[in-house]
Formats: sequence, C-alpha cells, structure tokens
Amino acid sequence: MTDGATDGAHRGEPREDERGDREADLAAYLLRTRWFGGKGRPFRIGEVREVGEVPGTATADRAVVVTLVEVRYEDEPGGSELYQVPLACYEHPEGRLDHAFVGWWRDPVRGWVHAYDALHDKEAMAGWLHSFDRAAHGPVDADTVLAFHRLPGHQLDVTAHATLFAGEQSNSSVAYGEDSLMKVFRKVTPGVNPDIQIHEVLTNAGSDHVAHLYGWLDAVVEVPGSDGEPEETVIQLAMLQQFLRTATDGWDLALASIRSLFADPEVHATDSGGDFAGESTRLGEAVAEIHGQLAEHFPTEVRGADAARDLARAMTERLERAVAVVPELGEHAQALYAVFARVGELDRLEVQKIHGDLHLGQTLRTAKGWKIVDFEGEPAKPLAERLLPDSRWRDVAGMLRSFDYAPRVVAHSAAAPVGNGDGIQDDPDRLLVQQHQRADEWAHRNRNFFLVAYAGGEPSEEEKVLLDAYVADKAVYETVYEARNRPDWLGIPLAAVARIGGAA
Amino acid sequence: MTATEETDALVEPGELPDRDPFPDSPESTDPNEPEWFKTAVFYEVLVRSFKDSNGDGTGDFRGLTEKLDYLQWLGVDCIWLPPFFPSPLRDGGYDVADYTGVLPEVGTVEDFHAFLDAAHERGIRVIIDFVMNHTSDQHPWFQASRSDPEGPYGDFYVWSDTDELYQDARIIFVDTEPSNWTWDPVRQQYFWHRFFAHQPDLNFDNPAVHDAMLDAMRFWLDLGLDGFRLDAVPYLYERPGTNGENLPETHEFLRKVRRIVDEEYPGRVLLAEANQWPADVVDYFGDFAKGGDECHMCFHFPVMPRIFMAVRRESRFPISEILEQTPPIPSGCQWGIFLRNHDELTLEMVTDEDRDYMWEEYAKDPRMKANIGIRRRLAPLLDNDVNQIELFTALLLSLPGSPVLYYGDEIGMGDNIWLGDRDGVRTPMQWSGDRNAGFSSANPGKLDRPLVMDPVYGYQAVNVEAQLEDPSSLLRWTRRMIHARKQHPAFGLGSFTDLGGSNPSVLAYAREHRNPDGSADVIICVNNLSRFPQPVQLDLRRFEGKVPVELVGGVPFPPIGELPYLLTLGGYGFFWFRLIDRVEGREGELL
Repeated sequence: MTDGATDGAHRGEPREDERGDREADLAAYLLRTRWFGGKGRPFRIGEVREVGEVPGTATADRAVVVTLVEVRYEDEPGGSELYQVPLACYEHPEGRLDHAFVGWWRDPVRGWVHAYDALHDKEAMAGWLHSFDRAAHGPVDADTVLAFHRLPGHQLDVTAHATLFAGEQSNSSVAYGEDSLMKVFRKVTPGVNPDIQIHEVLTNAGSDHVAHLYGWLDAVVEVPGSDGEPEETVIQLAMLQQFLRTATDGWDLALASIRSLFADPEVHATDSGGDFAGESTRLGEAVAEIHGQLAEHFPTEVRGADAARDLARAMTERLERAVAVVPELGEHAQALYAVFARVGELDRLEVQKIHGDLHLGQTLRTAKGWKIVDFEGEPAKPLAERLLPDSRWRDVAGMLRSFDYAPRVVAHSAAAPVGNGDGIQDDPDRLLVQQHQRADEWAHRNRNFFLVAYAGGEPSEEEKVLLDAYVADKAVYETVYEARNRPDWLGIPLAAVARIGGAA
Repeated sequence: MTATEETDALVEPGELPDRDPFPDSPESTDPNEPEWFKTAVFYEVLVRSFKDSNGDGTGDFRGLTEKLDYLQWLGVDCIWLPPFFPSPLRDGGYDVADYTGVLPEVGTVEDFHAFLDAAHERGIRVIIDFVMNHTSDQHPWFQASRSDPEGPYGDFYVWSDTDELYQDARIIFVDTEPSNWTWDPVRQQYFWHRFFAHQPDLNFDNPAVHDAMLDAMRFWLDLGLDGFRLDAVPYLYERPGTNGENLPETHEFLRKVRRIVDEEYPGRVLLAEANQWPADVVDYFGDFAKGGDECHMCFHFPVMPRIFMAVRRESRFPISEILEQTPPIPSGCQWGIFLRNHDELTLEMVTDEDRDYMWEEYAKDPRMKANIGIRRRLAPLLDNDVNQIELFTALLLSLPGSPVLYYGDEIGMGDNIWLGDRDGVRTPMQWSGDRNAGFSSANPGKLDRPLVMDPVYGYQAVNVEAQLEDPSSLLRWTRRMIHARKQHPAFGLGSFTDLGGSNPSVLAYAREHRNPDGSADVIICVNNLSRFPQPVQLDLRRFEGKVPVELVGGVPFPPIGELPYLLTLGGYGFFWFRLIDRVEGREGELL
C-alpha cells in the first residue's frame, strides 16, 4: 500500500470533463479545516499517499482509507508538510455527511468515490475502536501497514458511539462514548510522537496525573532517505486514551478564581473566597510527580559548563533579536543580559524529558485531581528538537508565566471595577490601580504556592538562576508575539520583564 | 478461547473496575428492606422551640401537633425530633435522665402518643433521637452506680482507678473538656466520658446495659415510632491502644439492634450519626452482601461543608471530589444529607486547611465559632442572599441522599450568636409578626429561648404568615421544590453521574432511576456556583434525542443532540430538568 501514491492527472482513464480533481478538492478541504497550518501561504498538493484501509470498515460501497497528503509550499524551497486525512469513500453520496464532504474523484481501485472526512462518520470511526479492541490480542490485520497497539489494563467499551470534538486547534479528537478518546494527529512527521511516548511511560508508571493511554496507531511507510533512496519509517497517527468525563480546563478554573477576587475590590488575594492557592499547590505537586517519573523512565544527563554557556548564548541572542522588534525591551535589556549571564556561569546543566509547552491551558482539573495533557512539546519546533531532553525549569517557567497572564486576561475582558458607592473609595483611577494590585497579588501568590509545592520548599540558588532565566526568556518571546499579534497585550510580558529586570 | 475471554485477560489480575459510588436503587419489596426513607424529605424540629400550646414559654408536643398541617402542606415525609426526654438540659437534652419519659415542660408520653398518631394520619412518619453512648449524670443509673459499686448498676458505666487509660481517644469538646476522664468524689474513681463531664459513658461491655437500652427502644417502637436517629454511635466501646471510635464491638451491638428491629418492627429505620469520613461511616451500614445489616441510614457529613466551600470558591470541585471519594453503600441503605441542623456546622470532617478556610469565610466573628464548627443558620451564613439560599436548597434536594431540612430554614430564619453554646440556632419558630412571633402566648420574658429580634431576621420581617401571603416567598418556593422532588423517584433512588462540563463554576449531574415498569426517570440538575452569570457546555451525548423539560415550569428546552449542550445560568442560578422522549412530527411542525 505504500506505493499508493497516485496522481489522477496521469491516470487518464476518465474523460477530461468528468474527472474529479482530487488535488484541488483536497486543497479546498484543507483550507476549510481548523488544523491546517498553511493557510495564507501559497501551496499545492504533492503526493497523496494511501496508507491503508482501516480493518473491518469495508462494505460493498464503502472504504475507509487513511491517507497522507503532502503539502508543498511555494514560498519556501523544499518546504513541505504531511497531513493525515482519513477518508470515508462511498460509492454513492451520503447525505448525512454533506458537511464533511471532501470531493469526488475516480479512484484507480474503487472507481468513482465520494470522499468524506472520516472523523465525522460514526460508522467509519467504529473501525478504529474495534481495531484497537482486537489489537489487545496481536496484530489486527496482516494485510495492512496500519499497526494498532494496545496497553493492558482497560477493557474498551466497543459499543460506544464516536463523536468528533469541536474546537480543537491542531489535531482532531473523537470521543467513544464516555469510555475513551482518540486523538488523531493531523500534521504528522516520521518518527516517534512524544505525546504517545510520554503517555505510554506515565501510564505504565501508574501516574494519576495523565489520562491513561489505552493504545496507539502506527504506520510503516517509505520515505525518501537522506541518500535519496526510499527507506522505511514509522509514522505515528493516533492515540487512544482514557476519557475524562469530569474535566475542566485549568485555565478556566483560574479565571473563575480571579473574577471572584476582582468582584470584591477591598479584599486581598490572600483573603479571597475564590482563592486558588490550594489548586496551585496541587498543580505544583502534580508537575513535580510527572517530572520525577519522566526522569526515572527516560534518559537524564548532567551537561557541563559548555551547555550552560550555550543556553545563555541562545537566550541572549533571542533577546537581541527581540529588542530589534520591540524597542520597549531596550531599557530592561541590560538587566536581562545579566540574568542570562548568570546561567552562563553555571558549571552544569541537568536535562531530562519534559513537557515542553506547559501552561495552565495544558492542565485539566477533574473530580480525581489534576491531569496534564498534550506532551507534544512546543509545536513551533521540529520533531527532532522536541524529542531532546531539556531543563525541567523550562516547564516550570511556562506555568509561572501562565499564572502571570491569567489575572491580566480577566482584567482585560472585565468591566471597569465599581466601588461601594462610599465616596473617595470610588475614584475610577484608584479602583483600576487597586485591581492591578489585586492582579499582582493573585499572580504572586499562586506562582509562589505552585513553585514551593513543585520544589518541595525553596529552590536552590542554581535552580533559581535557571528558573529566572527561563521565565525571562519566555517573557521576551511573549513581547515579540504580542507586539506582532496583540499590541494591546504587550504590557503583560513587558511588566514581567521589568519585574525580572528590577530584581536583577 | 472466545473473544470475550481474551478481552477479559486485558484486565490485570486483582484490578476491579471502579465501583459506582451512587448506583440506581431498585425498589425493594422485601419487608426487611423498607424503602420509604430513601425518598423521604426529613424535617428536624425541636419540640421546645416550635410551638407552645399552653403559654408556659416552652414549645410542647400539643403545639407541635397543632402545626402538623403546616408540615404536611410543606411536603415533609418524616419528622426527626432531637431528645425530649427528662433531662437537666445541660446539653440540649442529649443528657438523658430517663429514656422512657417525656420532659414535663414539653408534655407527657400520652401527648407524644397523640402527636405520633396525628402525624401518621397525615402520612408523616416520626423518628426520634436516641442517645446510646452516655446518660446524664442525673440519670438514676449513674446515681446508683456511683453510690453502690456492687449494686445492679455498679457496672453500668466505665469506671477506673486511673485516668491513664485510653489515652489515644481524642477529646471532642475541646472548648470545655480537658480530659475524657473525670474524678467522682462519691465512688472515688474516675469515670469515662467522650463528651461533657456531666455525660458519663455507658459500659457496653455489660450485657445488662444492652438489655436496658433495647427495652427503652422497644418502649417507643411499641407506641408506633418509625425509627431512631442514633446519636454518637462510633463511641460505644473503649479499648486500649485505639482511638475508641468505630470498634468492631460497636458494630456487633448495632447488628444486634438491627436484628431486633427487623424481626419485631419491620419497616422502622435506624439512622446513625457517625461524624466520620465516608469510608469509615460506610461500615455503619453493615454487610454489603445482606444489603446492610446495621443502620439503614447514615449522615454524610463531609458533603455539607464542601457545598459551602464550592460556592465561595465558585468551583464545583470541592463537591465533585467528595462525591467521587464516597464509597458505595449496601442496596438497602441511604445517605442523609443536610445543610444545617441543631448542632454547629461541623468541620471535623474537613482538612485543617479547609477548616481554616471555612472559619475565615463563614465565621467572621469569633462568636460564630463553636467547638470545631460554625454556629449559624443557613440564611445568615449566606448573607441572607435569597439566590444563594435557593441554590443551596436546590442542591440539598437533588444531591444523592435523603435531605434533612432544619426547622425555620424554609423561611430563612436568622440566629442569635449572643446566646450560649448552640442555642443561637435553636430560637423559637417564627410563625407570625404577632407577639412572641405567634410561638407562645407567654410573657415575652418567660420564653424558654428569646426570639430573634434584629431588623433583618427578626420575626416581624421573617415569619411563616407573611411568607404564606407572598407567592414568591422563600417558603412557597421551598414547598414547590419539595413537591417537584417528590414527583420523581430518581432524586431519592436514582444513580448519580457527575456530568462535568466546560465551566468549572457549574456543577451538573444526572440522577437516573429505572422504574419497576421499565421506564426511566432521568433528572438533570445544573447549578451555577458562581455569583456571575455563566454559560456551560455539557456533554449530554448519553441522552441524545431526549428533550429536557424544566421541572417546575414545564418548559421544554431544545432537544439534546450530539453536540455539546449549551445552557446559560444567572448568578447562583440552577435548572432541574426531566428528560422526555422527543415527540416527532407534532401538529404544526409538519410541512
């Protein structure tokens, strides 16, 4: 099946006027999706590779085919991405799937097909679930390169109906009843997917802080090797996890706490009924436990002074580039350079497997405590880099920055604070200043509670040096992002930069 | 090997699927498994504070009987009466001096009997408190025990030459008691008491004590009583090296009581007051395989402070978590839940951190604290915010367990934190704006406990008569909700499923019951714990195709589809829905 690459234009069988243009249809379809990363860039569809049919889904008039679509960018020489597009191909139109119609074209094997995004098709999606179920006892189907894998410990509810979750940004998730959730990776890269890799390890380690992994789907495909000759590689396509029925986004929970704080302008964060410090503490403990398990089950390394200097240099260079984009950074630059310089003076740098993109939006609060999700690493980085060990303080810094953002986001969307109507207390400017103070209090309090719980006390001097640098580095990155995308919000990371600079 | 067997092998040995804490309860026909208490609405009333019939300033059984029509109108299924036995009243009557008598101020055994019959005529059951652990030091048994160690009552209490024994047992009333031992100058020995020093513990190692207690219980059951709330059950026995709580001997005695109830008085119930974590409380239901062979009901203590915490934090997780951690109970049993009662809002079953939080948030004046709790009524705890009072009541009436209302809370009565101990929440019922709130015709100075008279909660502002006149009053609202609850067995019998949802300030759950005819009673409750309006998206796929109908008004909401179900709620707002099948092609909808 790996030779399934076809190019309809060269098949020549249908007459020119009745030939569906699969490439054009796929290109139009990609632009309609949430997860396609090439919007706004000139591209064309390259190779369309049929990876295999999902076992047990074929009927007389249907085939469910996992397809990989190569997108070639015309604004970048050699630039291309690979997207996974499972298609449900029907002989006749399926009215119930009109909203998920991709196109119709002539398939070399199947003849004319009407192709739909299979994730919208409950009947087709049952095939993945049944295959995962059967995978518990060995290979599902010797005739396909689709390899379903299972972890022991959970019996799947194979009667559960599939529902596509709306609103996800970069991947697509299908819930099977209230039993399991399948995350279908859309942009795929040959090699190990860290999300699967880490979930497997943490599940086997019995972690209470992740949705347990039930299984995953690989395909072995041929890709052009470095020497131009085809070589076999694994592409990881999907993973099946525990469904967390009672979960809510940690970010939303934090915002609820802050709204409650802002509602009583005279009340300090320490005295607020909506205090979040207990949650921050439990989150800190959860992240510490996960880091501990990752350090136990993945390679760790103590690098020397060279690595510390390299890290300091990289941060310094990022700052130099950022100052060019955000002139307001200039006045704090010297202090920030000093923060990074202290990293350069460290004589060692401990690295391990980390989350890589940790913030409150990657946490879920459930009735059974906190869970951490999305171990794919920072999406902007190439896969090879995301798989490398890194400092756990990068993750901690991400959480601390998130605690800093949360109250400012609420202040941004909330109505202007209103006083009690008792005179001088009601001056609008004074109330705004007070709200800023409350925001600072909340951020400070929750950063501290998180950090102390994470570190099990005060972090060491060396750890503080690293943490400060990662926080500064992240805030510098944010200034660039905000300056380009949301200039109104630039004040948030700038205030953080000023605070770090002031303390330095 | 079949596919099924192969699949089973996936579950690792020893690993059982999680047991549902709140499964649906089928309606039982076994006479030894009476079910009425599973759907009943309980109402706790202090006889001496409810209605005074003879103008002596103290409420009495004849007064209570006069007010049975009111309780029937409200929708009460079962009245719970705290102790009314002869007593020196140093602990609200929990210091019993005669188990088979009635305190003269509140009436006679004949008055009680007449009250019981009148309640039964109205379909209302009655349970009374029964204090097993200890008596008053004025009880003749104790007086005999201290003066005649060799006599028939010499061994009725726990005596010791030293106060060194049982040091691992904690002191419960930390505000007043330095030790669980007190020296008796008459007998020249120490006696054991888990509560006040004027309440010596009975010695349950003495079979004669068993017989005496069982005789007393039979006395009331023979009058037709519907059951007992057993006070302070975890402490019946003492053993060295233990904390003296939840000992095996205690459970053995409860099984003995239960056997007698089942054999001689089927349909009557035992309700345990065991202020313990649910994992320990569950033992008081007894043997799972037998559907429970100790108490029919136990109070679920931790859920109550968690409701208060969740609303202050505007987060559902304090409630979700405690329900998630609640162990399943035997099929013939039920939890009792409450918001407030005659005791302080007990904070024994919360962590230290949570207790500090509760004190900080709900007991801003040190006078509001009592022992390890908060002595306040519901309305003042909630700043008299009717939206919050309604939300709390809706939670009480819809969470798993039988709700226990506290007299006066249905009209939003206040408290008097200046009265001693827990009397502040035991002031007379406010019937009207007339003299003495219509409670008594006595000279106001003669009242057993003073009325609440402050401008916000005083009886001129808060009383039954005024609220009966007002169709939008808390009283009328409470009655509507109780009656809505009574129409749906799912509230009492149904399973409980936390529905999660996108908004952490919104607590949503389903209560589902399979009726004996095979039909399903499904209720969905959605509660906004935040002061602000909130949207929530609920994953209701399990109910796809059903139509939610608001329970009180009967308004159908849009049918449930595959997509997340969007609801918006006002601050502290809530919905109760019942689910009905979608009716296709109704007239007017066809093209």
